Amino acid sequence: MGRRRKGISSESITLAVFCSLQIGIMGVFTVLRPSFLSGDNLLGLLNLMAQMALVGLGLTFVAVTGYADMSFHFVSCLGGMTMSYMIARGMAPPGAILIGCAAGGFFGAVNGFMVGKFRLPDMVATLGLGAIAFGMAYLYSGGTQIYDNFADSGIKLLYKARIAGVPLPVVLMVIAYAIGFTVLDRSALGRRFYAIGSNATAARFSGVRVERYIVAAFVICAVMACLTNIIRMSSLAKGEIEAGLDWLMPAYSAVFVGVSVFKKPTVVGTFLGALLIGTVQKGFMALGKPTYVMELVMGVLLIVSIVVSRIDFKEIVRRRRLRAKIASGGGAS
Amino acid sequence: MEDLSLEMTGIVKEFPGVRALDGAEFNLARGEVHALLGINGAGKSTLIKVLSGVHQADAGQIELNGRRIEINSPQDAIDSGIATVYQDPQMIPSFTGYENIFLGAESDSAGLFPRIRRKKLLARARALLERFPVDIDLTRPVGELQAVEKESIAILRALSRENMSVLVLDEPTSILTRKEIEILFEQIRMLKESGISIIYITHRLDEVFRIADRLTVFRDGRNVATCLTSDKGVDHARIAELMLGRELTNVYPPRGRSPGDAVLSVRGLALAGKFAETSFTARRGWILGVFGLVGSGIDELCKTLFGVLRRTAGTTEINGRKVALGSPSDAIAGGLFLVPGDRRTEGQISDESVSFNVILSNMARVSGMGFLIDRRAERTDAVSIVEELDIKTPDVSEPVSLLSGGNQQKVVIGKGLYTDGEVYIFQEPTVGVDVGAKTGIYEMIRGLSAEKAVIVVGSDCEEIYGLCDHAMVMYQGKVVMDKPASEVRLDQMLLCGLTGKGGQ
Repeated sequence: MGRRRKGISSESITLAVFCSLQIGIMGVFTVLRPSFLSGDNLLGLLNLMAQMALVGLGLTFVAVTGYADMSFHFVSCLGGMTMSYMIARGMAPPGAILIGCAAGGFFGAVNGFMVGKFRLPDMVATLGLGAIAFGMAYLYSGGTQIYDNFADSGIKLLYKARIAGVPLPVVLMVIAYAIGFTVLDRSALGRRFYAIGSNATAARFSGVRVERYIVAAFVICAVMACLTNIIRMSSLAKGEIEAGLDWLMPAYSAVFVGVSVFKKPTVVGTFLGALLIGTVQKGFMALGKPTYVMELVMGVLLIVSIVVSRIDFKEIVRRRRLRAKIASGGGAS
Repeated sequence: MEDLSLEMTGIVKEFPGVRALDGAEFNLARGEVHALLGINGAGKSTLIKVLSGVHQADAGQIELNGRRIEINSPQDAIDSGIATVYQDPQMIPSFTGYENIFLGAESDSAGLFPRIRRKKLLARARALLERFPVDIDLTRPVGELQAVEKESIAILRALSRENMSVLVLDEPTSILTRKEIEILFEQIRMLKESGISIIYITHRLDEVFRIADRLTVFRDGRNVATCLTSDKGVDHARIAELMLGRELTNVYPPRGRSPGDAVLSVRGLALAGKFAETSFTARRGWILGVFGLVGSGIDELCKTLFGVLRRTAGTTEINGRKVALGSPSDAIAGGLFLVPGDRRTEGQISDESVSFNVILSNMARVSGMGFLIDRRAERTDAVSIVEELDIKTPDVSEPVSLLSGGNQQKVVIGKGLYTDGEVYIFQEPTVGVDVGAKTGIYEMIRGLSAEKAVIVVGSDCEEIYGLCDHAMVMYQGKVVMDKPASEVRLDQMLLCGLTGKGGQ
């Protein structure tokens, strides 16, 4: 009883498959463009994946509770434009970033209430609220770009600053993942998120305040999306209303590549997903391919990872072992 | 039996932690109705699933009409001529009767878009139906049909296969009315005359003597007895004895000696439209039993006590302190735990491990400041609960979904024990639990009652009666009996729950 089961777990199989895939892809790009493996390029890869990883981390919380959020990319537009408006009004960057994220958090909370408390269908309800958020993002400037104060308010540092040579977004990614991992994988809070995703009724009967956790998951998702979009706007040096719209696909792809490895949404899995997708993106950029090729590859990745996540390696191993045991005349356990 | 239709020998089927079939034997003569009996978990449904290809046997062989066959999928079973009609036959409600009968076999011609000749199908379906003493409109969507008509269509579907020789009926009468049962029996007799062998699974012993030629009793994954229903000395009592493998009375632990101090006191608790104002007290060392049929309000009473449903009136006190009843979280914090009646949806997180489930309601015990979980402490605590309740699992990291019903229930109970509450409510404590584990759970409940207030609630009258020291009966939302169990007989309690009368 005190001993853990031995043998190959399904996780280690898929993890091995994943690692060879990752190395293989990097190998292909290195052959095509030897500079792919240079330190600068790898740092650039990390910087590219950092934003995707941050949105994906937020979405992981929603995915763990068993819901879907179709609004975070819309909400991130509102968060980004709110931040831009505050910067243009002369507010200091930290305050503007906070207010931008808070605006997103509000919409996340509304999502959580709609889905958790009033049991509205998650896809449609969040899509509707997302449209509202996107509409509201136009209110600040009527849809035109916001440049005022971007050059000299210091907001650009959010993207440009380096700590010991490492870009600030990468540092933020590492910090966010450390916190995310601690919360979801190591804490009582994380257990409750997972319990809800697995069986919300049983979680409630076990004393979990289900609605609160659902609201929290949607708030985290929205805030992370806003933060990411704010980083992107600081890199663009302007408030661009549509800057956040293309977060939906990469975020879901990152989460589901992770699910294909660990059979459930996890922080580590999402990180690996973002790494894989980032590598592919960076590779195509190095080869000078147009962006629609990336979209195409991302779509393929998403579908392949969903297919892989359905394969139950553990069950296959278990059956094989049991058959061998019976064949050798082993007794019952 | 000289003319064997089906013979199964040495069938072994193992699930993680439990051997559901352990060298089971079963045979079936041509044209006989053979009843298959056994309590939940005895292995009879696993045997049928092996025969119908839902499960694959780990060992053993199956012979049909003298030829050895391999059944690796439901399609294999159908192709061999073995048809199974489940308790609640699955059909496409919007399709008509004849469309359901020939579902998947609509056309003889191959190709991407085979032609369906509706008139021909309907004529064939009517020809099948002529053999039966019932008149069903085969052109109506089955969603509009009565239970027995659906059952008949499921049987017709089985008959539509040319070579069908073995028909398995899995508790066919459980959803039928008395009159419909007669119709079904008439059909079974006709099928039998045409040489089809029938395996008949049921819990209703009187049906066995009415329809079956032979019977086989399963217990602990093996066939323990096979005999003719006309054999001398075979009666209800003997069969029950074979099924249980022990005297009925030994199942329950001895009653409590005397009521201890009051722990839970409920005053005027009510949920409008579900149950009227109810007051009772639960004491240490004195199990309170609440019996009621489905719809009597017992389910709502449990859920209201646990804070799942919002009461419309009343108060609850534990050890003299008022308990908030806003949510299960409040109830658990107040020292009350419900082991819910519907284990799969309310009790367990099936995909997660035993230890995950055990500590879920009281994670503060293994985490500093209620945040980071000390995984070593989690493991130690889970192992000690597993040992205390004798939960059979290879490891505490095993997903709960892979355990047997009884062990799953023990995990849910373990989760409750881990909260170290003051009051424990067990709702339908042994649904889907095999008899060995049942006794273990009864003993555990009795043992627990020495220190905690225990309430058992359920619709299994014998179980509630066997366990409790004080008997309450609910009928249509009202308490109709409330007296010490020693002053009540089992049949009085049952009658009271059925009619609402005779409780005074």
